[in-house]
Amino acid sequence: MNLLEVLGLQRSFSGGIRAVDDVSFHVDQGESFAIVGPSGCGKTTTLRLIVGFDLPDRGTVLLRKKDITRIPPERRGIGFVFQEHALFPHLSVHGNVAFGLRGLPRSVRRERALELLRLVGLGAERDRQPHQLSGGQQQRVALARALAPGPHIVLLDEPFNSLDAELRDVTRRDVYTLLRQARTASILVTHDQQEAMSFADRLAVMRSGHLEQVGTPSQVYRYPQTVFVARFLGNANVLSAVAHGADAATPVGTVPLTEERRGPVMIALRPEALAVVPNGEWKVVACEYKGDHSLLRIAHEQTTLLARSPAECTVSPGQSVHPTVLGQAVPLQQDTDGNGSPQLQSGRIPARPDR
Amino acid sequence: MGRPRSFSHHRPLGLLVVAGAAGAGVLLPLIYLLLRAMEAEWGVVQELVFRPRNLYLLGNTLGLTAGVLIMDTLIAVPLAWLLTRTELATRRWLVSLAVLPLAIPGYVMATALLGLGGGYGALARLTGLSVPRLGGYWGALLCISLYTFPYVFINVRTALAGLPRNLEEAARSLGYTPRASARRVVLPQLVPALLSSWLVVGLYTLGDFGAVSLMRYESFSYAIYLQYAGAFDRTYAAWLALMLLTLAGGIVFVHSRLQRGKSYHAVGSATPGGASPAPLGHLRWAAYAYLLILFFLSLGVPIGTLGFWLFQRPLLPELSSLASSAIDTLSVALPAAALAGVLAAAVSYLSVRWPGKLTQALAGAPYIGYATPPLAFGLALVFFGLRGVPWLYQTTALLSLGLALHLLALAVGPVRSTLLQTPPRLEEGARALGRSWLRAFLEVTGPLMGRGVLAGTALVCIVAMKELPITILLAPPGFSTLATQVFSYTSEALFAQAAPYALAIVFLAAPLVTYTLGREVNG
Amino acid sequence: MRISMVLVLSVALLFVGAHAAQSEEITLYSARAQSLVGPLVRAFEQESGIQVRVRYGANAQLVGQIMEEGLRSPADLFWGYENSLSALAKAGLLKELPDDILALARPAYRPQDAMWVPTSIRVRTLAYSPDRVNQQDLPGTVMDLADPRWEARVGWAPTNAGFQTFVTGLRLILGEEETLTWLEKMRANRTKPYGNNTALIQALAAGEIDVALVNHYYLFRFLEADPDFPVAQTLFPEGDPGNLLLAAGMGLLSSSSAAEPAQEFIEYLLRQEGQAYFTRETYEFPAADHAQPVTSVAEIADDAARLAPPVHLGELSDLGGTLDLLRRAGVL
Repeated sequence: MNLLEVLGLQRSFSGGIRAVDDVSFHVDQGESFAIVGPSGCGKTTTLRLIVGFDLPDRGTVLLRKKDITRIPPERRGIGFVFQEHALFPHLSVHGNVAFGLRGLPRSVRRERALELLRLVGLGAERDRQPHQLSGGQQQRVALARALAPGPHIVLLDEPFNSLDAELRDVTRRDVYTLLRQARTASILVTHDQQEAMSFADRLAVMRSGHLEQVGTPSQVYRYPQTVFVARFLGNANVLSAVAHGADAATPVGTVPLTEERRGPVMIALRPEALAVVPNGEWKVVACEYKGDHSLLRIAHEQTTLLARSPAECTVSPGQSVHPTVLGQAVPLQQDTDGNGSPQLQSGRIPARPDR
Repeated sequence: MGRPRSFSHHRPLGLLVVAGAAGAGVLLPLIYLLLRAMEAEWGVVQELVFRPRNLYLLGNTLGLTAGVLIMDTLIAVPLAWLLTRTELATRRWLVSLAVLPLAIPGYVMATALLGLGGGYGALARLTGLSVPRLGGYWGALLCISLYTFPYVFINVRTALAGLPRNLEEAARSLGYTPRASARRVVLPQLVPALLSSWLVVGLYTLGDFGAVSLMRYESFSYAIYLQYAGAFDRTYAAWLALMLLTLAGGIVFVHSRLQRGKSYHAVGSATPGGASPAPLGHLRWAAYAYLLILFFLSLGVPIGTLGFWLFQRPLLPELSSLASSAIDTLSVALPAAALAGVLAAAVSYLSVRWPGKLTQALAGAPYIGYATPPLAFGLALVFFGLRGVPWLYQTTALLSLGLALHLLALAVGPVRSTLLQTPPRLEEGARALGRSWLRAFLEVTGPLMGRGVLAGTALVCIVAMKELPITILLAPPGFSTLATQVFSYTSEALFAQAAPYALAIVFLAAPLVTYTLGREVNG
Repeated sequence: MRISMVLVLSVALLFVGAHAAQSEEITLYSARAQSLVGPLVRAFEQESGIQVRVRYGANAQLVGQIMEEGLRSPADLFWGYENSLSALAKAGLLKELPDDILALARPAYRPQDAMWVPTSIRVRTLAYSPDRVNQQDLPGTVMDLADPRWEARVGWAPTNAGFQTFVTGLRLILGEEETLTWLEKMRANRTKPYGNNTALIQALAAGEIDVALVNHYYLFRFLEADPDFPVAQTLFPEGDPGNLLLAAGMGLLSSSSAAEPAQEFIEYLLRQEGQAYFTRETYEFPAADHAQPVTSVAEIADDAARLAPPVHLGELSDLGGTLDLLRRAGVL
C-alpha cells in the first residue's frame, strides 16, 4: 500500500529557478526510500515540501490517501531529522525526546521517551545536555526524538553529513535497524550514492529539480537510464557507440548490450565489465589500489576509461594495454537538455553526419 | 554551561592587574559609602534609615523596576521578532529607529511626555483635546520603558538572529503550532539575552531619579536625594545608598545564579537565521500600526517636543556655545567610552576564559558600580581624587575615568556575550602556531571580540553624553557639556533655550546608534 | 592618546591656574544656573580683569562636593540659597565676611552670623489658575489651604529649598506644634507633592491643581515665553507667613586663597550694576539698600516688602528642625 504519494510537486524560488520540477514518487508502508543527488539538486526542498516547512507552487502530497499538501507541519504526523540535528539546547536529552509526546500523562511520556532512548542506546545519557554528546549520539537523539510521537514516516535530511566517515557507517546501520524495528517508513536525502544504496529499499536519483530514475538500488545501478545516473551511481564509463541490435561498436571494440538498439547511442559500461591485458593501443594513466581490487585509468586518444583489475596493480602507469569487455553495456537515453553530464569524462561524442 | 576549557593554568598577570584595577575603581564608591556610613549615630540611623516610609519607597522602587522590565520585554520581544523574522527584517532603517530612543535623555523624555497632556499640553493646544497628564506609577513606567527598551531589543534581536531556524521547524514536525513552538522553543532560548538586558535596565530603574521624580513617583532614590538635597547630609544618605546597593547586589547575585547553565551552546553546526522571512499577510497593518505608535511615543514625542520648544521662540542659540558644548561632551564621552571598552574587554576575557571565583567577582563588580547612585559615585571620586590624585582633580581625565568606571557594566554585557560565542579553540589554534597568549588575543580573539567591544563602547558613549551628576561634580570649572546645558536651562524653565542642546545630544548619538548598535548583528 | 593629551593639558592648566590664583583668578561654585547668571559673571570679568572659573551645578550636589572637598576645595566662593549657605556655615566651611561687604545688604536681609551675604531676594507666592479660581475665592491666608474647600486642589514641593525655608518661617511664627498640625492637615487634605517650582507651575497650567505654593520668579519666565500662559500669582495679606522673603546669597569659603578678588566679586554683585541685573534678567528683588527694582518686578517687589511676615532672614537657618517636622508630618 502506498503510504506516501508525491504527485507533480513543483516549487520555484525568487529568480524563477525551479528548485523542484514535477517530482512524483511514492513510498510504501515501512519502506526505506532515498533521494540522492548532487548538492543543489532540490532534494532538500522536496523533503521540506513533504513535511510542510515549505509549500509547493503546484502538486500534491498524499499521506495514506489524504491530501496533506496545505496542512501545517504540526498536523501531518511526519518526523523530520535535520542535517544539524537541531536538538533543543535548553532541554536535556530526555527532554528533547519527550518534547513531541504531547497530551500524554507524565509517567507515560517518561516511559516512552526512555524506551526510545534505550532503543538508540542512550538510556544512560538521558539527563545530559545535548552539547555534552558526541555527534553520533546527537544524531541518535535526533532520531529518537523524531520517532517518539510514532510518525507515519520519518524524513532524514542528510543526517550523517556532520559525522566523520567511520561514525557515519555505524550510525547509518543503527538508524536503518532502528527504523526497521519501529516499522517506520523513511525518506533519506543524501548526496552520497554509497549511503543511499546501502540504506534504501528503493531510491530516486535527482538532478536539477527533477527525478531522473527511481528503482531499487541494484536496478538503478545495473540499469541506469541516463548518462547522469550512470555517472552518479558508481563510476560508469560512458561511451558513444553505434548499436547494431544486440551489440554495439565502441572504442573498445564490440560490446554486447542489455537491450537491443540501432544507430548511434550512449552506453554505460561498468569498470568491473572491463579488464586489461598487456600490449595494446591504450596507455595506463594511473592505478589506484583499493585493497580487494585496483582501479585502472587507461587512455587512448581523447578517451579515458576506468577498468577493474585483480587486487594488485599488475600494470604500471605508462604501460600499454588492451581493454577487453567482460560484461554487458547499458544503452542510455539521450539527456533531455542535450548535452551530457558535466562530469562527462569519456571524450566528446563524435559528430554524426546522419543525424 | 560547558566551561570553556582553559588552555593555560595561569591567568595572565597583566590582564589580571588591569581587570583588578577596574574592579577596585568600580568599588571605590562602595568603600567611600562605608566610610561615610560609619560616622553615623545608631539612633539616627534607626530614625532616618529604617523608617517604615523607606520600606514603602523600596516597595515602590521594586514595583516600578518589575513593571519596567515587563513593559520593556513586551515592547522589545515582538519588535525584535518583527525585525528579524518577518518581511520587515529587510528594512534596516527600522532597526536604527528602534535603537535610537537610547539617545533620548530621561529628563527630556519625561518632560516631553508630561507636556502632552493637560489643559496647556501639546494635545490640547493642537487638537483641543485635553487628556490628563501622565504621572505616578504609570507615567514613570511608560517614560522609563520608552528609552530603555532598546537595551532589551538589542540583546533579543542578536539572540533571535543567531537562533537556528530549524529548531522551530523541529518543534513543528513534533506537533507544535507556530505559537506553541515560539513559546516552548524560541522563548526559552531568549532567556539569557533577556536576563542580561534585564540586569542593566533593572539596575538603572532601581537608581533612576530624574524621570521618576518628574513623573512624581516616590521611589527609593527619592529618599536618597532628599537626604543629600534636603539635609545636605552624606552620612545617612550613605546608609540609604548602601541599602540600595545591597538590593542591587542581591539582584546581581540572583542574576548570576539564573544565568548559570543558561548560556545555551548551539548544538551542531546549525545555520543561524535562515530561510525566507515570514510574510505578515493581514497582520502587516497591525505590525505597522505597532511600529508607528512605538516610534511616535519613543522618538516622535520627545523630538517633536524639542522642536516645538525650539521654534516656540525664534531665538537661535549662540552657535559657538552649542559647538563648544558638543566638543566638551565628546572630549569626555569618547575617552570614557574607549576606556570602558578596554576595561570591559580585560574583565570579560578573564572571566570567560578563566572562570573562577575571583574573575567572576571581577565581572560582577561593574554592575555594583553601575547601581551606585551617581551622586554618591561622584562624591566618592571627589573624596578619593583629592586625597589620592590631587593633580588629576577637576580635570577631564578624572571625569572620563569616573564615567568609564560608573558605566563599565554597559560595556561588559555585550563584550562578554560576544566572547562566550567565540570558541577558545580558535585561540588554542593560534597558540599551537606559536603565539603567546597576548599575540593570540590580539590577533585572533581581539578582532572577534571587536563587535561586542564596539557595541559596548557605543552604549557607554551614548549614556556618558546624557550623564549629569558625575559630570557636574568632576568637570573642570567652566566646562559645560550638552547635558549640563540642558539641565541649566530646564531647571530654570527656559525650555526654548534648552532645546538645541538636547537635540544636539540626540543627533550626536544617532550615528553612533545606527553604525554600531543597529548593525551589531551583522558583525 | 587623546586621554594623555587631555591630561597633560589639564595639568598644565592647573599649574597656570594655581599661579594665576595668586593674582587675579577666582573659582566659583554656583548653584545658580549658568543660563541666569552667566552674563553677569562675564560682565564682571570684563570690568575687573579678574577671571572667574565657574562650576555650575545643582544646589545639593555642589554643597555635597564642598563638604567632601573640605579645606582642600579649590573653590573660593559658593553662590547658593539661604539653606545651603547656612549648612556650609554650620559645617565651618565659610569665612566670616568683612563688615563693609555685609553693610551693602539691607540690614533686614543679613544673616546674624555674618557668614554669607544675600545677593538677591525672592518671595513665596501663591500661584493659581485664573480659569478655575476667582480672585475673590483666593484664600485669606496660607493657613486656609488646609480647609476642605481646597481638598486635592493645592500643590507644593516638599523637597524644594524654598518650601522648606517657608516651613522654617512657619515654625518661627506659629511654633512647632501648630506648624505640625497644619502640615498634617494639609497632607490629609490631599495636597499634591511636586518636585520643584517649575513642575508646580506646569501642573497648574495642565489643570492638575488649582493653586500652588511657589517662589515668585518662575512664573515670569513662563509668561516671557508665552504671554497667554494660563497661570497667575498673588501674595497673601500683610504679615502672612505665606509671603516669606527668601535670599540667594554668596559665601566665602574657608579654603579660599583669593579672598580679595573674591570679595571684589561679591561687592560687584551688590552694587548698582549687579543688583539691576537681577531685577532685569532673573525677576528678583535687590538685596542692597541703594538699589531699586526695575519696572517689571517693581510692583511685586514693593508688595513683597510691604506684606512680608515679621521674620528676619537670618533666623531661617534651622533646616534640621524643619526636615524633622516634615518627616513627622509624613510629608517627606
